[in-house]
Amino acid sequence: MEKAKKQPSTVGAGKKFVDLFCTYGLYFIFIVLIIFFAVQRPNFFSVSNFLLILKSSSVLGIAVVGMFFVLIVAGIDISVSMNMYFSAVIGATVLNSMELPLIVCFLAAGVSGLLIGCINGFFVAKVKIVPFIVTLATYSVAKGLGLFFTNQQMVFLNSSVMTLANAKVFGISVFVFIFLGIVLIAHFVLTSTQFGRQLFACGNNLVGANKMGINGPRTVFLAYAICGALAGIAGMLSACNLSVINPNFAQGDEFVVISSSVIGGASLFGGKGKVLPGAIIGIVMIQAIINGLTMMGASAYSYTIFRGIIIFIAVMVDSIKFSGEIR
Amino acid sequence: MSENILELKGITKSFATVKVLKDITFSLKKGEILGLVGENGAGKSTLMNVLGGIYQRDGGDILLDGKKFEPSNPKVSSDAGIAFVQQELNLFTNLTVMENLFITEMKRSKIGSINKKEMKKIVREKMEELGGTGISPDDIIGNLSMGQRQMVEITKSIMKDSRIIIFDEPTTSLSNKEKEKLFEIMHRMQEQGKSIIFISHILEDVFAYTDEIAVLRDGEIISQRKTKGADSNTIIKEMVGRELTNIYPVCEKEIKDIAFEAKNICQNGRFENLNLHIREGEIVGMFGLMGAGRTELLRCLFGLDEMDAGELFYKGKQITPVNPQNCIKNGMAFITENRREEGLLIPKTLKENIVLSSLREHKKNLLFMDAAKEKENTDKMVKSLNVKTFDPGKQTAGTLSGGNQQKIVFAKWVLREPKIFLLDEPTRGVDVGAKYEIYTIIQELAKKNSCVLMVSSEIEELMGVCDRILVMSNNRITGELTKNEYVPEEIMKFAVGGVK
Repeated sequence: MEKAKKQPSTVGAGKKFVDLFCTYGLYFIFIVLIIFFAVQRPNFFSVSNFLLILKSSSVLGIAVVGMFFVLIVAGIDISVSMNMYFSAVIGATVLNSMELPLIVCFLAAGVSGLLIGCINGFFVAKVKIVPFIVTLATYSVAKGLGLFFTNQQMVFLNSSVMTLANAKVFGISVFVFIFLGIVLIAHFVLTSTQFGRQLFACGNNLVGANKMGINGPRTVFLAYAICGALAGIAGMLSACNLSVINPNFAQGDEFVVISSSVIGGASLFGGKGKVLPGAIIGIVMIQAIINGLTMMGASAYSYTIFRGIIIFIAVMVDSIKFSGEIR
Repeated sequence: MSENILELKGITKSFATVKVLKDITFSLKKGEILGLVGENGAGKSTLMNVLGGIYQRDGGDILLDGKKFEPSNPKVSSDAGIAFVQQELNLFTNLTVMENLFITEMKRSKIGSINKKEMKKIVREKMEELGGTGISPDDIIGNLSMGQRQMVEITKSIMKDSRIIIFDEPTTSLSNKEKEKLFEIMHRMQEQGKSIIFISHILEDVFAYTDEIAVLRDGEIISQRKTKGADSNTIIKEMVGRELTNIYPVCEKEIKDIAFEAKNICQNGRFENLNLHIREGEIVGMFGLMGAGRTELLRCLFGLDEMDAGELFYKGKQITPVNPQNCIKNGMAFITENRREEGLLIPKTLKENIVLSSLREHKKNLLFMDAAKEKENTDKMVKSLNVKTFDPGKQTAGTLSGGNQQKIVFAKWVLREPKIFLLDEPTRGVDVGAKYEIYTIIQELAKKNSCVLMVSSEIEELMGVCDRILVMSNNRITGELTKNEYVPEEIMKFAVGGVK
């Protein structure tokens, strides 16, 4: 096929710039922002602030890892943020009402997240509804259920969570280790198991995968289930971190999670992405910028604008890069 | 060579009310290459899908080694030693060669992770068995050429000591060299005692490399005979069910003055000062080997790829700027080699496809489409191009055979009555009968004073259809032959570098 060879040569200066921007642009913007923050607020570049960024990255980072699974099979999960909210509410309820150990609450949150993930997976993989719509629906349902269970009130978690939130190993929050553990497991699953490689295969060519004897629907279903479960755990962890669940808990975090994944190397077109180090790089970059904005005392609205711009740039870069790829 | 490894008896299969397979009876001997030929739409793919366990047959028996065999799903077939090398390569472009080969049953190490070392070793061994392919198990498929991908696909077919390997149109996207390599591999497999079913449109290859030929027409096996002593005219006759006196239509037409001119076409890093012209009513062929830049030149002329310098003229009037919209406006048409992806809206009806490029002409008023006119023009096209369809307003393009799909692509453009046709492999993946009809369409276009530039990889086809042949090699036009100078060897000489 001669068309496969059409990209080389014909590169004008404009195209070169676009290529360069696509490869390094986001890092460039990131570095410029970091320098800007560091100059404006000397505290930004301190060890303690860095550890803080790592800690807050770890919470959402877990959801990013889940999102990688879904993006790899060429899906998307908008419901992560409300999944986090709903699961955190469930976890907190278990914690507050039954006085069970914290690990059980995490289990409860994980299971409730898994349930939402399974619903997403069922409708996407088996019923074959567009993932965007399915997860938008579960987003709304999960949010509604969360508000319903809490009577739209704040939920305070009992003091036992503070032990976890403040626990440190070698001066680093345990959150970071939980996150790293999950990243390592996910990395192992994605790169070194048959299931992992089949996820990539399904994301590349689902029809072909089915023909080849891969159980495509099951693989896709599992990706959503994993994403849901990890979102649930991320939600509970976030609740522990804040020790309170607001009615607007995790609002807008789906943007942060999806854009972190895309910045970290996953593609909305599927079949691509390395959680190690992609998921870590993606979420740390975004959290560093959010942290910087906070230190600058930026207005609350600016976060929304910022999130919008970041996801726009990330997805644009993803699309431009994609058109040049051989499939 | 006597024992039948596979026998099919009276296989039938229907989809809804359409009987696709009526009575398939043939046998495959051990260590034999059986050529299966037939027009597109004759039922070859369906038959193969039945063997592969993708479709369930309605009736008839399949005997494997003399025992009844029920291919109820793809796994049963592959476990029984039946493997496929598909026409459309089923490879995951984002994965490595090794991962592609093992995707459903990866070797595991003790801790449950995949054992890359062992798998790589097996891949190397298998590729060695094929006589060495020069492909590393770690190569990402997306970085391999079509020929190399085919090698991977073939390697896949022998992963499980398959005994029967079915090649479905394996040569369509290969260069001649890659083709030779493929046949060498087929021969090697045969020597190893494997049986091969080779499905192809290219009769030459079938004659050269098979032991027996079976002809499939309209869901029935018409004949099965030894290749030795078989006569290609008879085979063609059996395939199309009618006598083809001449494979190429003859058409009385007049070639007039130069109408289309492309001057000093330059594309950064590819073309330098290419010139060509087409006379009114002339069909110019363009031959070249893989990577000679034929498709790229057409794309460039049509403005699909950027043209860095150069001018296009039609009857003295310059066509500028060179972009697809403006080219279409100036009466140019481009028929792509990639009809499924670029030429047609596969899930849409024939009618919608046909009127697609002239929607403006089918408006009744500002708001509404003129349904009657759409229908009238569609019917006219379907009739004049002889498209086989039950209802152009209901049937979707995806359900047509390759030849009929190509006719729809033509219809779409012909409706606009363009004056310059750029055709890229117009008969690719099209069976003999439909090819003839497409040649006729092309001749008719020329007769109506159009300029036709036709890219093809088949020398005979160009010799049969074109008034003049240009040969490209390495992004240059290296040769030009007029009708009385046609000699295949000469054309090939230009194509491999040629005389400067």
